[in-house]
Amino acid sequence: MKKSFRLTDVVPNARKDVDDELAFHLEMRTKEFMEQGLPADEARQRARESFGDVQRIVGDLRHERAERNSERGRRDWWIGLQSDIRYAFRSLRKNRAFAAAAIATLALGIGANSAIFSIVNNVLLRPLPFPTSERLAVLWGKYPNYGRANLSLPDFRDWRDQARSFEHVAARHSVAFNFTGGEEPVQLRGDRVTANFFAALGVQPMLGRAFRPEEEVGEHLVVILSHGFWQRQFGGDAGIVGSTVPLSGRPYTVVGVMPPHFRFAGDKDVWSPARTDTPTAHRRSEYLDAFGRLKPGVSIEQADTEIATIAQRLSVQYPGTNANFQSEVVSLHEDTVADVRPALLVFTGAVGLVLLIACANVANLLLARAAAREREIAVRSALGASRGRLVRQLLTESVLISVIGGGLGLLLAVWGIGALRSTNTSLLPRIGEVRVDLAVMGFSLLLSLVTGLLFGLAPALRMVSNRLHDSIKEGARGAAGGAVTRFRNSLVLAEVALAVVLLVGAGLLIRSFEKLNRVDPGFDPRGVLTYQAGFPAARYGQTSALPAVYDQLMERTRVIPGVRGVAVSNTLPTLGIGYASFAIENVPFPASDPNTGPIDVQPYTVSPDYFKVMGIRLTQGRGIESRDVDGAGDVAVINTEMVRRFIPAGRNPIGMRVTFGNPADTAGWWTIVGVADVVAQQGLAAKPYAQIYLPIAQAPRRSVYVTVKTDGDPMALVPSVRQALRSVDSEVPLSDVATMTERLSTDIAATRVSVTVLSIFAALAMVLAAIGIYGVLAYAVAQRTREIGIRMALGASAGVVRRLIVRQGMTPAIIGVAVGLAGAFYLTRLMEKLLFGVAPSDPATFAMVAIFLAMVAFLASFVPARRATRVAPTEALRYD
Amino acid sequence: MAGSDLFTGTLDLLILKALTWGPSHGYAIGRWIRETTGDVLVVQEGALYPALHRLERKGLLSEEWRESETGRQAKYYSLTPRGRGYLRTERKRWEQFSGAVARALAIA
Repeated sequence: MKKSFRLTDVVPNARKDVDDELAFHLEMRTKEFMEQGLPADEARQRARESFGDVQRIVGDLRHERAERNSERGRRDWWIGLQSDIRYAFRSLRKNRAFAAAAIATLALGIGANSAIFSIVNNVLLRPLPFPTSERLAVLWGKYPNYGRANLSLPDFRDWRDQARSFEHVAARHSVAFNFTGGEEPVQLRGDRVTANFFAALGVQPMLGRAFRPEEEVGEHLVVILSHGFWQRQFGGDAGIVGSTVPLSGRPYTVVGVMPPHFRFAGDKDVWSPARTDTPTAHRRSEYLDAFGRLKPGVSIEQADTEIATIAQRLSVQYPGTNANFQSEVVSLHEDTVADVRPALLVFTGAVGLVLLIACANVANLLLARAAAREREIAVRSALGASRGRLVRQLLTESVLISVIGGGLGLLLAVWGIGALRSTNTSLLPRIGEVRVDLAVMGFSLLLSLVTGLLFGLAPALRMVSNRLHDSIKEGARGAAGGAVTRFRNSLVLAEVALAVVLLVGAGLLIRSFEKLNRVDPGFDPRGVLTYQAGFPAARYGQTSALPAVYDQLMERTRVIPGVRGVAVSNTLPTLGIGYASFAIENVPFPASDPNTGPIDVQPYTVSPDYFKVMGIRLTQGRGIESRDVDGAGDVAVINTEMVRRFIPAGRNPIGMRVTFGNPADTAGWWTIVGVADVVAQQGLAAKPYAQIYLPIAQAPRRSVYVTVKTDGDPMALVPSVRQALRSVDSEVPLSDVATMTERLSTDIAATRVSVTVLSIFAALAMVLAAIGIYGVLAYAVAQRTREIGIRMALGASAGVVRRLIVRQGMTPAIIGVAVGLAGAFYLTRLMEKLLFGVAPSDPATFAMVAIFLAMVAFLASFVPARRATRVAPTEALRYD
Repeated sequence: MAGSDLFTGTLDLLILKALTWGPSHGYAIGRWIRETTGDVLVVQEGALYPALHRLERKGLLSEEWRESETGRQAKYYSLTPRGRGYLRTERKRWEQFSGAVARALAIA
């Protein structure tokens, strides 16, 4: 018994306390009189007399004591708690190994939960950083059964002018500027926006003004700077408004600076007005992101219905372009987070499971410890400590463990979020807003408390159960062993089942990732360096001058040692691309099929060596060649998907002619000269799309991508490639430099992060489950050492004993695997959106996980089993 | 034994004084008071216990069951730091008071 253990803490019995105290007094006084020579009964009589009215005093004291006990109840509770906490600390210090194991387990469990919660809280739950952001909505075009599309300028104007649900309907599209005001030319990330863009978001410039409506009409060289660019480039010069900055060779007047942290549609450096008066704009030239601010009291659904009506009207008015063009209005918040919600919810579920396993494990540790504490508990119980009081003491210990674990877990979460932020900021929307704040800390604390009660309650109740009183008698070892072992076995079962669910989830993602990696992208990314270059109108005039510039650039690049080929194109696989409607001469369109999406193609404009540099296979005909210059016959290369979908079976596409837009007023026809393989333009997981290649010399563009093929390390070429570009134009920056391999891996980076995160959780779960099995068996072996010794002394072979122990461990594990597989069968459906090429109930994954966990369980059982057989029988018999 | 306030205060002081020698149970405290005050203060022994419990409630004493010199469990009282401070100030007040009374009586 502890020295500081105060019985008064646990004896609320006023009657007994008073009686005992006075009885002692009377007894001592009697003894005193007897020592003076009085006979016993006389001495007792004298003692009573000198005491006074015993009955009255006893009554007074009892009454007073009872009153005081109830008065002191609250104070005692706190004092008791303090002493419980002190006691718990001492107890943990005495059992460092136990404490370290339990705290580490919980730190991992709570840390993972806190990290995921802080992401979920900031990304999914918190409102967007705009005033009354719940009124912001995105206006999408939509092709039935295919998906969302941007808006064309005419459609945007009609929607904006006819809609009554919105205070503002605004739009934006990205644009790149060459900025030559610094030491080196750099490319800026810009947006062209409608004049009401800032008003719609509810954010005004901190310096200067927003754009004016008249600046949407005609061309206005005005610009608003981002806070970051203003700080970086102009040192936060307060007098910047009114000065001019050179953008793509033209002087733009700065009219405003946005406040810090203003961010919409990615990080931008500058905003400039979008023209909304272009009369020639085509209705299917879709490039605008439209969004609006709802009038107060108008719901998303009402706005959705209204825009749908407008879109319907337009489809009647312009059947040639708008027949299948519908609309969809969603809240901006939903639009921002919808893509990551499935992954985040799966992660939330996964960390929850990990924490449950951690709880089961710590409960197991506590039960193992219970064996060692049986005597302590029994003694305290015998001394009058009530069961509630003992449970409280044990729970205090559990909660102390979980709160320390939670504190460490919070540190882990801070570290983990930092790591996540530094890896790839573009993977998760709003990742910049994610931080460990009060909400997260509160969550961790709450989780710690709940966790502590969760894993502490069952062992505590079990420890103070009646049968434990037997164990006060030395030698009644393990009287409660059977019940405790059964309970611990069910914990192991639960742990294994949870681990199976997590492993199946991780396994499905790993298989998705493998499949994704094995997708043929349709090109060979190895040894290809890529960069972007822009040749602004202010310096190059008409685009007809550009082919000569491309040729000069490619010539100077081709002579660099190690370069095997160089090409110029309008875009690159994995990057954004436009969509063009088209027609094939004398071939009717297939019947409009709402399941295949718009009848359009992804158009590429490329220089002759593009197919060679990118390693795109030609299955028929020829590629783009150097003879395909402006003035020569217009030619095109189409891809196999376009042949499959749009060329009637059995007809040779070579020699057919295609045109773009409306065939009735076409400017010209392109003759098909070759067929190429499908390129994974929109990512490896995307469906094949019809694609067409035109000679860039016949359709030159100001902003192009340059691709350079080499046998060696592509990045080693960067200095000489930059030199080549500079020799052509010293004002054009080398921007967006990356190898093709890097671009392809960014495409699957989100899947890779999911795979990594879930694999870590699953591995954690598996290790915890293995520790759980091992812990239970090691304990059981220790308990049964005597029995095992007798068996072996009576001639049982080591093999028999090993089998006995292994069976004890394997039984709950195998049942756990079965339960887990059943659970996984239901739960993995929830992650269908994260999978690629794998069914949520993929039998191979389920089978592999089952076998794998069974093996882990066997190993975890075998180690203690082998130890059991190593015990010498004589030693085992002595073991007590 | 008189039940006057004067006496109650005096008994409290004596109990606190008794415990300055270390933790003790009620019987030993009573015996110490009997022996040190001789026959002047004949305490009805039972009166000691309400006083002890009252002092404990006021936080001047703390109590603890432990084994006594005879091997039986007994309730031991000891001075809390507050009890020690209380004894110091009350003792000063008592000396002023008794001195004043003594002077007053001497004049008469």
